[in-house]
Amino acid sequence: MSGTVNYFEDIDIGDEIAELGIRPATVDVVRFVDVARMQSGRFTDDEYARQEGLPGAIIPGNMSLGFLSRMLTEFFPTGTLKGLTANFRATVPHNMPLTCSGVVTEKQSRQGEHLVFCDVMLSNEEGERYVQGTAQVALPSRED
Amino acid sequence: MLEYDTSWIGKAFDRYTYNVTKEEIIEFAQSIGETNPLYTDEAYAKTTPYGDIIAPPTFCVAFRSHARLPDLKLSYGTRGFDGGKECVFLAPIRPGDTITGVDRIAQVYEKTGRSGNMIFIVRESELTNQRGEQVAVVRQSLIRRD
Repeated sequence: MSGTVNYFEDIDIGDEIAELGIRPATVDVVRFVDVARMQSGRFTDDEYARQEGLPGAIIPGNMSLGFLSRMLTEFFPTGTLKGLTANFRATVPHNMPLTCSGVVTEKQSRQGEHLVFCDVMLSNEEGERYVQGTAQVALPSRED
Repeated sequence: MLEYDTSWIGKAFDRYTYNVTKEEIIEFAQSIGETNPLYTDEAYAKTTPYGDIIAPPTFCVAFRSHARLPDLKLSYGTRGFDGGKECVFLAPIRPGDTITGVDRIAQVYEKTGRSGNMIFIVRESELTNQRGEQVAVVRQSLIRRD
Protein backbone atom coordinates (compact mmCIF):
# COMPACT_ATOMS: atom_id res chain seq x y z
CA MET A 1 0.00 0.00 0.00
CA SER A 2 1.11 3.53 -0.58
CA GLY A 3 0.33 6.56 1.54
CA THR A 4 -0.67 6.32 5.16
CA VAL A 5 -3.24 4.53 7.31
CA ASN A 6 -4.97 6.34 10.17
CA TYR A 7 -7.70 3.96 11.33
CA PHE A 8 -7.84 0.32 12.35
CA GLU A 9 -10.64 -0.33 9.85
CA ASP A 10 -8.50 0.87 6.93
CA ILE A 11 -5.90 -1.91 7.06
CA ASP A 12 -6.28 -5.65 6.59
CA ILE A 13 -4.24 -8.77 7.09
CA GLY A 14 -1.92 -9.18 4.10
CA ASP A 15 -1.69 -5.46 3.39
CA GLU A 16 1.83 -4.21 2.81
CA ILE A 17 3.28 -1.24 4.65
CA ALA A 18 4.59 1.50 2.38
CA GLU A 19 8.28 0.81 1.88
CA LEU A 20 10.90 3.19 3.19
CA GLY A 21 13.92 3.50 0.92
CA ILE A 22 17.12 4.77 2.52
CA ARG A 23 20.81 4.97 1.74
CA PRO A 24 22.68 5.71 4.97
CA ALA A 25 26.03 7.27 4.14
CA THR A 26 29.02 7.15 6.46
CA VAL A 27 28.34 10.76 7.48
CA ASP A 28 24.84 9.72 8.57
CA VAL A 29 26.21 6.88 10.69
CA VAL A 30 28.79 9.20 12.25
CA ARG A 31 25.99 11.59 13.18
CA PHE A 32 23.83 8.80 14.63
CA VAL A 33 26.55 7.28 16.82
CA ASP A 34 27.45 10.75 18.04
CA VAL A 35 23.84 11.55 19.00
CA ALA A 36 23.22 8.10 20.48
CA ARG A 37 26.55 8.10 22.31
CA MET A 38 27.63 4.77 20.92
CA GLN A 39 30.97 5.68 19.45
CA SER A 40 32.89 2.63 18.29
CA GLY A 41 35.28 2.24 15.41
CA ARG A 42 33.27 -0.70 14.16
CA PHE A 43 30.55 1.76 13.09
CA THR A 44 32.66 4.46 11.53
CA ASP A 45 36.15 3.19 10.69
CA ASP A 46 36.62 0.54 7.98
CA GLU A 47 40.11 -0.41 9.15
CA TYR A 48 39.05 -0.77 12.77
CA ALA A 49 36.04 -2.84 11.73
CA ARG A 50 38.22 -5.16 9.61
CA GLN A 51 40.45 -5.77 12.60
CA GLU A 52 37.32 -6.99 14.40
CA GLY A 53 36.65 -9.44 11.58
CA LEU A 54 33.95 -7.37 9.91
CA PRO A 55 33.92 -6.61 6.17
CA GLY A 56 34.03 -2.87 6.91
CA ALA A 57 32.28 -0.29 9.06
CA ILE A 58 28.68 -1.29 9.77
CA ILE A 59 25.42 0.43 10.62
CA PRO A 60 24.57 0.04 14.33
CA GLY A 61 21.67 -2.26 15.15
CA ASN A 62 20.00 0.61 17.00
CA MET A 63 20.05 2.67 13.80
CA SER A 64 18.46 -0.17 11.80
CA LEU A 65 15.85 -0.43 14.53
CA GLY A 66 15.26 3.30 14.20
CA PHE A 67 14.65 3.00 10.45
CA LEU A 68 12.07 0.24 10.99
CA SER A 69 10.35 2.34 13.63
CA ARG A 70 10.39 5.32 11.25
CA MET A 71 8.72 3.28 8.50
CA LEU A 72 5.95 2.29 10.89
CA THR A 73 5.34 5.72 12.41
CA GLU A 74 5.29 7.32 8.95
CA PHE A 75 2.81 4.76 7.62
CA PHE A 76 0.62 4.85 10.76
CA PRO A 77 0.85 8.57 11.68
CA THR A 78 -2.00 8.33 14.20
CA GLY A 79 -0.76 5.04 15.61
CA THR A 80 1.32 4.21 18.65
CA LEU A 81 4.16 1.76 18.29
CA LYS A 82 3.71 -0.68 21.17
CA GLY A 83 6.35 -3.26 20.39
CA LEU A 84 9.20 -3.90 18.00
CA THR A 85 11.51 -6.89 17.70
CA ALA A 86 14.46 -7.23 15.40
CA ASN A 87 16.87 -10.05 14.71
CA PHE A 88 20.11 -8.82 13.22
CA ARG A 89 20.81 -11.56 10.67
CA ALA A 90 23.78 -9.94 8.96
CA THR A 91 25.88 -6.82 9.29
CA VAL A 92 24.53 -3.81 7.39
CA PRO A 93 27.09 -1.89 5.31
CA HIS A 94 27.21 1.87 4.75
CA ASN A 95 26.45 3.64 1.47
CA MET A 96 24.10 0.99 0.09
CA PRO A 97 20.45 1.33 -0.96
CA LEU A 98 18.29 -0.32 1.68
CA THR A 99 14.57 -0.91 1.96
CA CYS A 100 12.44 -1.17 5.06
CA SER A 101 9.26 -3.10 4.36
CA GLY A 102 6.51 -4.91 6.17
CA VAL A 103 3.23 -6.76 5.94
CA VAL A 104 0.25 -7.01 8.27
CA THR A 105 -0.08 -10.49 9.77
CA GLU A 106 -2.81 -10.07 12.39
CA LYS A 107 -5.39 -7.63 13.76
CA GLN A 108 -6.92 -7.74 17.22
CA SER A 109 -9.19 -5.55 19.30
CA ARG A 110 -8.80 -6.21 22.99
CA GLN A 111 -9.20 -4.27 26.21
CA GLY A 112 -10.08 -1.13 24.29
CA GLU A 113 -7.00 -1.29 22.07
CA HIS A 114 -6.98 -1.93 18.36
CA LEU A 115 -3.72 -3.63 17.49
CA VAL A 116 -2.12 -4.34 14.15
CA PHE A 117 0.65 -6.96 14.06
CA CYS A 118 3.25 -6.79 11.32
CA ASP A 119 6.30 -8.61 10.04
CA VAL A 120 9.03 -6.09 9.22
CA MET A 121 12.40 -6.32 7.55
CA LEU A 122 15.39 -4.36 6.30
CA SER A 123 16.88 -5.67 3.08
CA ASN A 124 19.13 -4.70 0.21
CA GLU A 125 18.33 -4.36 -3.49
CA GLU A 126 18.98 -8.07 -4.02
CA GLY A 127 16.40 -8.92 -1.37
CA GLU A 128 18.96 -10.10 1.18
CA ARG A 129 17.43 -9.61 4.61
CA TYR A 130 19.75 -7.93 7.06
CA VAL A 131 17.16 -7.42 9.79
CA GLN A 132 13.92 -9.26 10.34
CA GLY A 133 11.39 -8.66 13.04
CA THR A 134 7.86 -7.97 14.15
CA ALA A 135 5.90 -4.94 15.30
CA GLN A 136 2.69 -4.10 17.11
CA VAL A 137 0.93 -0.81 16.43
CA ALA A 138 -2.17 0.50 18.22
CA LEU A 139 -4.51 2.47 15.97
CA PRO A 140 -7.62 4.55 16.65
CA SER A 141 -10.91 3.04 15.54
CA ARG A 142 -13.74 4.89 13.82
CA GLU A 143 -16.07 3.14 16.28
CA ASP A 144 -14.45 4.69 19.36
CA MET B 1 29.85 -26.92 26.64
CA LEU B 2 28.69 -23.64 28.13
CA GLU B 3 29.73 -22.83 31.65
CA TYR B 4 29.21 -19.47 33.31
CA ASP B 5 28.59 -17.70 36.60
CA THR B 6 24.86 -18.29 37.06
CA SER B 7 24.70 -16.01 40.11
CA TRP B 8 24.23 -13.03 37.78
CA ILE B 9 20.90 -14.23 36.37
CA GLY B 10 18.17 -11.79 37.37
CA LYS B 11 20.56 -9.59 39.30
CA ALA B 12 20.83 -5.88 38.47
CA PHE B 13 24.33 -4.97 37.34
CA ASP B 14 23.77 -1.36 36.30
CA ARG B 15 21.49 1.43 37.53
CA TYR B 16 21.53 4.82 35.85
CA THR B 17 19.52 7.95 35.28
CA TYR B 18 19.48 10.42 32.44
CA ASN B 19 17.68 13.66 31.86
CA VAL B 20 15.93 13.94 28.52
CA THR B 21 16.27 17.23 26.70
CA LYS B 22 14.26 18.58 23.80
CA GLU B 23 17.46 19.04 21.84
CA GLU B 24 18.43 15.37 22.24
CA ILE B 25 15.01 14.22 21.07
CA ILE B 26 15.15 16.42 17.98
CA GLU B 27 18.75 15.42 17.18
CA PHE B 28 17.91 11.74 17.54
CA ALA B 29 14.82 12.06 15.34
CA GLN B 30 16.80 13.89 12.69
CA SER B 31 19.61 11.33 12.81
CA ILE B 32 17.25 8.62 11.56
CA GLY B 33 15.47 10.95 9.15
CA GLU B 34 12.14 11.07 11.00
CA THR B 35 9.55 13.07 9.06
CA ASN B 36 6.77 12.91 11.67
CA PRO B 37 6.63 16.47 13.11
CA LEU B 38 5.50 15.06 16.45
CA TYR B 39 9.18 14.38 17.13
CA THR B 40 10.69 17.63 15.90
CA ASP B 41 8.16 20.46 15.57
CA GLU B 42 7.07 22.03 18.85
CA ALA B 43 4.33 24.13 17.24
CA TYR B 44 2.81 21.07 15.59
CA ALA B 45 3.20 18.91 18.68
CA LYS B 46 1.26 21.46 20.74
CA THR B 47 -1.80 20.76 18.54
CA THR B 48 -1.68 17.02 19.35
CA PRO B 49 -2.95 15.23 22.46
CA TYR B 50 0.68 15.01 23.63
CA GLY B 51 0.94 18.81 23.95
CA ASP B 52 4.67 18.80 23.19
CA ILE B 53 7.16 16.80 21.17
CA ILE B 54 7.83 13.25 22.31
CA ALA B 55 10.79 11.01 21.61
CA PRO B 56 10.65 8.56 18.68
CA PRO B 57 10.03 5.06 20.07
CA THR B 58 13.57 3.76 19.68
CA PHE B 59 15.10 6.77 21.45
CA CYS B 60 14.94 4.75 24.67
CA VAL B 61 16.85 1.89 23.07
CA ALA B 62 19.74 4.08 22.03
CA PHE B 63 19.87 5.96 25.30
CA ARG B 64 20.12 2.95 27.58
CA SER B 65 23.34 2.43 29.45
CA HIS B 66 26.25 1.20 27.38
CA ALA B 67 27.98 -0.15 30.47
CA ARG B 68 29.84 -3.38 29.98
CA LEU B 69 28.30 -6.63 31.10
CA PRO B 70 29.55 -8.14 34.34
CA ASP B 71 32.14 -10.87 34.02
CA LEU B 72 29.99 -13.95 33.54
CA LYS B 73 33.09 -16.17 33.44
CA LEU B 74 31.94 -17.67 30.15
CA SER B 75 33.78 -20.83 29.17
CA TYR B 76 34.17 -19.46 25.62
CA GLY B 77 33.11 -16.53 23.47
CA THR B 78 35.84 -13.98 22.92
CA ARG B 79 34.00 -12.10 20.15
CA GLY B 80 30.69 -10.38 20.64
CA PHE B 81 27.99 -8.74 18.53
CA ASP B 82 24.39 -7.55 18.77
CA GLY B 83 21.98 -10.34 17.85
CA GLY B 84 18.75 -8.43 18.18
CA LYS B 85 16.30 -6.53 20.32
CA GLU B 86 12.83 -6.95 21.73
CA CYS B 87 11.27 -3.64 22.73
CA VAL B 88 8.02 -2.97 24.54
CA PHE B 89 7.04 0.70 24.51
CA LEU B 90 4.75 1.53 27.41
CA ALA B 91 4.61 5.32 27.70
CA PRO B 92 5.98 8.27 25.71
CA ILE B 93 9.27 9.88 26.71
CA ARG B 94 9.02 13.66 26.92
CA PRO B 95 11.47 16.55 27.22
CA GLY B 96 12.31 17.11 30.87
CA ASP B 97 11.78 13.49 31.84
CA THR B 98 14.30 11.83 34.11
CA ILE B 99 14.61 8.22 33.08
CA THR B 100 15.91 5.63 35.48
CA GLY B 101 17.24 2.42 34.01
CA VAL B 102 17.97 -0.90 35.63
CA ASP B 103 19.86 -3.50 33.61
CA ARG B 104 19.87 -7.21 34.40
CA ILE B 105 21.09 -10.42 32.84
CA ALA B 106 17.78 -12.10 32.04
CA GLN B 107 19.01 -15.26 30.39
CA VAL B 108 22.10 -17.03 29.11
CA TYR B 109 21.83 -19.93 26.68
CA GLU B 110 23.75 -21.73 24.00
CA LYS B 111 22.87 -22.47 20.38
CA THR B 112 24.67 -24.32 17.64
CA GLY B 113 24.59 -22.63 14.25
CA ARG B 114 26.30 -23.12 10.90
CA SER B 115 29.39 -21.39 12.22
CA GLY B 116 29.55 -23.40 15.45
CA ASN B 117 28.47 -22.82 19.02
CA MET B 118 27.24 -19.43 20.15
CA ILE B 119 26.27 -18.02 23.52
CA PHE B 120 23.23 -15.75 23.75
CA ILE B 121 23.23 -13.32 26.66
CA VAL B 122 19.92 -11.52 27.12
CA ARG B 123 20.35 -8.11 28.71
CA GLU B 124 17.10 -6.63 29.96
CA SER B 125 16.73 -2.90 30.56
CA GLU B 126 13.72 -1.59 32.48
CA LEU B 127 13.21 2.13 32.01
CA THR B 128 11.02 4.20 34.33
CA ASN B 129 10.27 7.92 34.38
CA GLN B 130 10.23 10.33 37.32
CA ARG B 131 6.50 9.67 37.88
CA GLY B 132 7.19 6.00 38.44
CA GLU B 133 5.70 4.99 35.09
CA GLN B 134 7.51 2.23 33.26
CA VAL B 135 8.22 3.68 29.81
CA ALA B 136 9.90 0.73 28.09
CA VAL B 137 11.45 -2.68 28.49
CA VAL B 138 14.26 -3.58 26.11
CA ARG B 139 15.71 -7.07 25.83
CA GLN B 140 18.94 -7.21 23.87
CA SER B 141 20.44 -10.51 22.71
CA LEU B 142 24.21 -10.32 22.73
CA ILE B 143 25.90 -13.13 20.86
CA ARG B 144 29.34 -14.35 21.89
CA ARG B 145 31.49 -16.85 20.08
CA ASP B 146 35.15 -17.64 19.46
